[in-house]
Amino acid sequence: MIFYDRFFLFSLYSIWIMLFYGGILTFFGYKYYLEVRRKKFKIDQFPFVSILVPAHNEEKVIEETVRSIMELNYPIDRFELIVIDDLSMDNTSFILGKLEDEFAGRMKVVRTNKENGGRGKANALNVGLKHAVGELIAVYDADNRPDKRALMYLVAEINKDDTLGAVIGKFRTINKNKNLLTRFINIEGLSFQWMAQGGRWRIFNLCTIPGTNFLVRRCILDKIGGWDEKAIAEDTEISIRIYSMGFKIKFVPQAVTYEQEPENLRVWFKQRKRWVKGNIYVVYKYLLSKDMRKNRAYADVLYFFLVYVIFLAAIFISDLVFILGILTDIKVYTTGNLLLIWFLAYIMFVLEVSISLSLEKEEFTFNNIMLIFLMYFTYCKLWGIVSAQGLYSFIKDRVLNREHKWYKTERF
Amino acid sequence: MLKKILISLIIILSFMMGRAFADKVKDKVLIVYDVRHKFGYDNDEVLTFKLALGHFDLDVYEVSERDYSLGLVNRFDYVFVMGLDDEKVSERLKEDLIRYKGIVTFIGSGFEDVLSLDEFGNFKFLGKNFNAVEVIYKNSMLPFSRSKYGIGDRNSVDFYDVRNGQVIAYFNDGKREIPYIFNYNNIWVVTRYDSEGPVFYILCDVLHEILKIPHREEKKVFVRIEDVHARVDIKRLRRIGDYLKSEGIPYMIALIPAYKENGRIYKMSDNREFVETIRYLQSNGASIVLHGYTHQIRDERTGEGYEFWDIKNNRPPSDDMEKYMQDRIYSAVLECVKNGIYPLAFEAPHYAINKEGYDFLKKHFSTYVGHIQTSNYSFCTTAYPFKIQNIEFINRLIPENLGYVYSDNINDIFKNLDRASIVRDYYGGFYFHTFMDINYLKKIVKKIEDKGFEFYDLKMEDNYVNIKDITIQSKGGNVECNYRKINSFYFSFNHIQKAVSIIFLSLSLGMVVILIHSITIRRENV
Repeated sequence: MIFYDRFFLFSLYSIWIMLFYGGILTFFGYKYYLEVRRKKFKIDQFPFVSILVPAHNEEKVIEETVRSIMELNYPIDRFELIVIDDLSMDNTSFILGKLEDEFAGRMKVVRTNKENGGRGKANALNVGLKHAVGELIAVYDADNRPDKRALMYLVAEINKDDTLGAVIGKFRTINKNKNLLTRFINIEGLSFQWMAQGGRWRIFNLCTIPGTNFLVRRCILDKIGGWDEKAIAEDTEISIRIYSMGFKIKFVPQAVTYEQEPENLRVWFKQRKRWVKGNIYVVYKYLLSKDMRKNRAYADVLYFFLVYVIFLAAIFISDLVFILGILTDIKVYTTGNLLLIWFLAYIMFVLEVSISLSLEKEEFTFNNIMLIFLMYFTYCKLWGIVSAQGLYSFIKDRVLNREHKWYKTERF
Repeated sequence: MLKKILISLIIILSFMMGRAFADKVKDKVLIVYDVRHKFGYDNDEVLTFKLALGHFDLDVYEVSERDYSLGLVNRFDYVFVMGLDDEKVSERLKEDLIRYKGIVTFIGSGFEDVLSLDEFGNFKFLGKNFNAVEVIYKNSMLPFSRSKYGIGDRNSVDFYDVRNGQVIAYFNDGKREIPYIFNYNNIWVVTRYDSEGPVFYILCDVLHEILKIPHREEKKVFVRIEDVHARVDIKRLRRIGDYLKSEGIPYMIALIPAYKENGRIYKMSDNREFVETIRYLQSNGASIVLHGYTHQIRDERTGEGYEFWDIKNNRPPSDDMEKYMQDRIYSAVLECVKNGIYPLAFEAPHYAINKEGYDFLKKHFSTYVGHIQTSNYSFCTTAYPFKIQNIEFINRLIPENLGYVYSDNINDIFKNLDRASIVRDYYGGFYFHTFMDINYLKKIVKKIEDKGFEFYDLKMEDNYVNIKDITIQSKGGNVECNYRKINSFYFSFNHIQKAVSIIFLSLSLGMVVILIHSITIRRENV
């Protein structure tokens, strides 16, 4: 019995610490918002930028993406677009061929073959990188519609500060009004960016590269040998390495891109499972690394460890305790005002997300606030399941010594 | 003579002091007695009676007839003359009583000379009766439900012809009614003194009439789970606790915090499951009563031995009881507190403890549960039928008087419960061991409910335990503990919870402020 109680206490403490951390991130995220909300960008130098767009069966979206990038508000002779056509089986190659003609001289299409392609996004980016000539490398996913000024803002930021290894922009959801799931994802995305990216930047000068809409120095990529092709979430992994070199990664919320989010649970599950496994890979790669331990980036590794192992276990235990308490005689002896704390935690969650939404135009609506109340019991629980699955799948891959099969998010 | 003067002086002085310091002047009572013990018995009967008066808010003094000095009674509102040895009342006292204006109560025997006087009702003594088998009380108030009780022993009863007086209770020997308690003007007569059984209960109830303190009708019974230590069957204990909780019945746990076996002491801290169970029960209806430290001395086994009385030699277990108690009680309280268990009262193992022991307890505990050992030299105890407060022995007594289940004897408890109806503000209880069949407990609980008695909840009262650096207090069901050295896991857990609540609340409030601020400022497109 006492064992059971200890487990419960452990889960309580873990959850409380995470909630506290969330509250702190919200405060700093808001502080950062106040600092940057009226910021004016000045740009006097235009370094050459290579924009990489990996594409694998993207016929539905690629044309729009290329056109949006071509219309970026940046001197046309100071950037190039490199689309990596990674063994597309659909009409992507044809569309890209057409566009290559249209934007001749400003755009390259790099086609992979069976030997150097089909191994996921990190590989595609590395292939593209070889053809890139820019001193700054930008990456956009094939479904993105970057805001015209996005690249300029990113460049302006990285120009100013030599200690910045990379700068990241913000994404918004194009298809947020499609259904309940996309609404949840929209809310999640906004609050994640203000708290985890904005808040973390303000406290630790650290963000996680989100996989799209970011700018990184070419020299850093050369030094670290590009993206880790074994990493399941190559963006998180590279963030850790950039950070461990002593560079900062800055969140620039003015640089906006619009992207598509999964419209059904099946796709959502696959995408998120990859993220989870990617983050766990980072924990796996760096948690026991002695070099890393002296590094500031180790805090982020520990954070992922806390989230995906400890916090996940905690959520699982507390749910188990709750269910067993209802269905069986197994009860915890731990007493006190836990209900009050639970209620406060819920209120804190709603407030944290509400604050993030209030920073965005047209997001702080009655409907969205009702959705936040609902999210705690629905969307958040789904995350629990995905995390558990991701962890399980990662361990299984390791035990069976299997390579992770890269899953590309389906487009709608 | 000098001794008499001194004693009189002390009594006079002490209540002059009392008058000077007390905000409310209490009624004063004098007990004049012939001897303290009945022939062949160990009980200090003067003490048993004096403690019973502790139910009423009075200043009680006692003096032996030998030490009585002329005129002393006039300083008192009530006089009780106790005759335990059948001796005649001294002329000195008789003269005083004739002139006395207050209320006089004669208890026991040897009063035939006095009672035959006109001033005392001119009652005719008819001799001694040895055949009384029943005692009947309140029949005038309850004509159709005359309660009958066996009186237990065959001792004699003084038989008076009560023409002028009002009989309150009487004995029955099968042929005649023999007055037990009767009243004439300011004279009360109680023809027999027993500190146990129905006769004692009747006297206790009639005391409300004699002292003109009409307490409200209110009967309360406690349930106490007895001899709970780390070696009891935890499942059974929990089952009992869960059952009582499900019935909404508050209860006490007589806890023994350390177990001694084969010369080794096992503290309950070593058994987390036990501690957890007690903590669980504590937050689900149980009030903890400290039942000694090990409930044994020397090589005895926990739960069987005596702890604060040496039963083999019939003496206290130590010559320095103060130190002996301090060591054991502090260890016991500490062992509880560091495990998040908060005793609110004390109960000596087997109720065996003497005056020095009580003196120590009175300093550190607000509440004592059980019987009182009413002899300083021998193990004999008295069970009271009501609450007693502010007496020289203890601050507050919650009496146990229904007994316990040891075999198929629940009828004894039922009988005791019937007897409880006599006393208008009856307080009492029974105890139950975890190894007994829970169905006995259920039957008793049902009986108590059928009788319409209320269940007593110790933690609802203002209790305290105060020893060295530890303070425990209860009020209205809340129990608080202060101990500067507490570092226990559980205690800190409560603090952590409080801290977390405060932090979360502050964060939430801060976020509300931010949210309001954020809504009021112009939103920029970032």
